[in-house]
Amino acid sequence: MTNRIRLLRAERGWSQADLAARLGVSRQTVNAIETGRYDPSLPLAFQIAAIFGTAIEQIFDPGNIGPGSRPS
Amino acid sequence: MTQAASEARGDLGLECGHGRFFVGSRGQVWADVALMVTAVLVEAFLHRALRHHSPATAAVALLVFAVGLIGWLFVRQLLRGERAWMFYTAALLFGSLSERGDTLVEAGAAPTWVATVTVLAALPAVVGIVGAVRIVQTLDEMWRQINYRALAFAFIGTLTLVLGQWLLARFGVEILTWRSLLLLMVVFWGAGMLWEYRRLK
Repeated sequence: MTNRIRLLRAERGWSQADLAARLGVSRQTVNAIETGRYDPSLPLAFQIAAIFGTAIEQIFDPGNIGPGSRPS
Repeated sequence: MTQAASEARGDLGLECGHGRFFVGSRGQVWADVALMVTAVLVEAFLHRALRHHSPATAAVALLVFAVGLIGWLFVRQLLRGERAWMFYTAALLFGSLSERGDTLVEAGAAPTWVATVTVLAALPAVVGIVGAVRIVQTLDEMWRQINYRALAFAFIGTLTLVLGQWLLARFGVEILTWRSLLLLMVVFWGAGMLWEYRRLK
C-alpha cells in the first residue's frame, strides 16, 4: 500500500518526529508507514487523515485490491 | 519524548540504525549498577556464611539484598515508566537468586534459608513478568506487533529446544537446564525483535 504522508508532511514543514508526536507513535513507526513497510491499523489511518485534514483515500492508495485479492 | 529532550535530560540509550533504544535515566542506570554491586557482595557473603556455617552473616547478607532490591524497585518504578531495561535486570536477578537457592539446597542449609532465597527470587520474577506485559502494553501498534511476533518466535524456538532436549535426554544427554531454557527464551525474544525491526526499518 502506497501513501502520500511524506508529501503532506513536507507541505506542512513537519519532521517525522513532529508527526509521530502528534499521532502518539514512535518516529520509527511513522518512517515504516511512509516507506510502505508497515500498514497502519484503521484507527491510526483515520487519525493520520484527521491530522492532515483530508480523507483516508486521499492519503492511502491500496493498489490493486479487488474481490478475492489479498492486500500486500 | 523526543530524542533531543531525552538527551538533554541525560538519559542513556543505544543507537541502532535510525532508532534509539531507551535504557533509562542516569538515576535509573545508577540504581541498576548499585543493585548489581550489592548482588555480588551478597553472593560473596552468602558463600562465606555457608562455608563457616554462620546463619547470622547469611541473614545480614539477605537483609542487605532485600533492602537493595526494594530500593532499586522504588527508583526504577518511580523515576519513570521505562521497563525494558528493568525486565532484563529482573531476569538476571531471578537467574542469580535461583542459582543461590540451588547452592543452599546443595549445601544442606536450613529450610528457612532456602525459603527466604526462593521468595527473594520470586520477587524479580514477578517484576519481570509484569514489566514484560507492561512494556508491550505501552508500545505503539507497530512495536506491539513486532513484540508479539518476537514472542511467538521465542515460544516456538523454546518449544523446539525443549523437544530436542527431551529427545537427547532419552539417550542420556542433558545439555540444557530449566534456567538456561528461560534465558534462551529471553534471548529468542530479543533476536525476534531485532529481526522484525530490521524487516520494517
